[in-house]
Amino acid sequence: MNVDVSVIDNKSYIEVDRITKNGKTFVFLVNSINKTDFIIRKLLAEDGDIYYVGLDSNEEFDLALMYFTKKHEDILADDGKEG
Amino acid sequence: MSRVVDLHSMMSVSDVNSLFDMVERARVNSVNAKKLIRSSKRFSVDVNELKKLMFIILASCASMMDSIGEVKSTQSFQDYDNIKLEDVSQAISSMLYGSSEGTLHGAHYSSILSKNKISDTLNDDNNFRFNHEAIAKDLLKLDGPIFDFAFCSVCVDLGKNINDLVGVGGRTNIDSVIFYLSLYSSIETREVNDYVKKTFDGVDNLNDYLIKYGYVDKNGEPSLEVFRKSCDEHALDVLSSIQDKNDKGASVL
Repeated sequence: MNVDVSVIDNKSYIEVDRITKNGKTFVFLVNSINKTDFIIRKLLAEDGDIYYVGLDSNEEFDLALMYFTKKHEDILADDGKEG
Repeated sequence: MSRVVDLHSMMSVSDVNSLFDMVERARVNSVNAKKLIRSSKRFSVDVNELKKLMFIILASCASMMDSIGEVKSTQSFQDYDNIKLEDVSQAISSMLYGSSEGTLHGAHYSSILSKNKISDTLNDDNNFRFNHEAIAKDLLKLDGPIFDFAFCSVCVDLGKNINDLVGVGGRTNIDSVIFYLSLYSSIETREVNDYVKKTFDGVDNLNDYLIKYGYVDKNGEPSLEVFRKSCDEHALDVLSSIQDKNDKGASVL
């Protein structure tokens, strides 16, 4: 499976997933070296370029994590079966 | 959602504390982060490896869920009951342009008009002028119900300008868009689109379209409002379909 890797603050992050809700596209990134380091950004198109922008608030961060959780509940279920 | 909380219950206190620290670091590094142009390279990873990376974020959620409580999450997902055309349109804008930013002043459904207006200034009639051909070409990147919703968004966003006589031969704004949709969906160009071709078969203008698909009011008159309400009623299904396309990497970006 192909994934996009971006450099943010001199660290490589793997784009694990994108979720679009209410017109906002959230990108979930995990550090390719330190797997406990993950960040969330939004995508913004401007003048023909695509930008990563930070989240507006703690509430938006919580909401983005919950969107992610809701979408991937099946992974938790699979993990339970394997365990 | 309960599975996440179950996951939390299976962890030791130290696990939970480290996850909590992890999610707080992520929060600090995500909220109000500086704007940065996206420049990425594609690499191949094993599906299981990707799953592990997702699990890291999911596990972090467990600590967050515990801290903010499941009530808040329930409230957030109740939003699904209120999904409307507007929400789908913004998702379509993200598909087409990578963002729904830049919606036209006064419009609130999609960015398709704002991306295809001829200039940023109003004309003598206090209206924007649009590139109908470009609007049609953007719409032709879509098909199925997603196209229908995008088309409805363009109609609704045109608002009072929908019937301005602007095109060749006195066509209205929307009928000019329909003209180019019919033209480019039929001829052998890269825009060829069988769904749109069938949709506009025998349709020359918006009224033809509304009548063909039964969007008429109680008096049998073609009604854009009936079309919009029908979209509102099916918005959740279409939004889910867009999400599926995103999941399969079928974005038009």
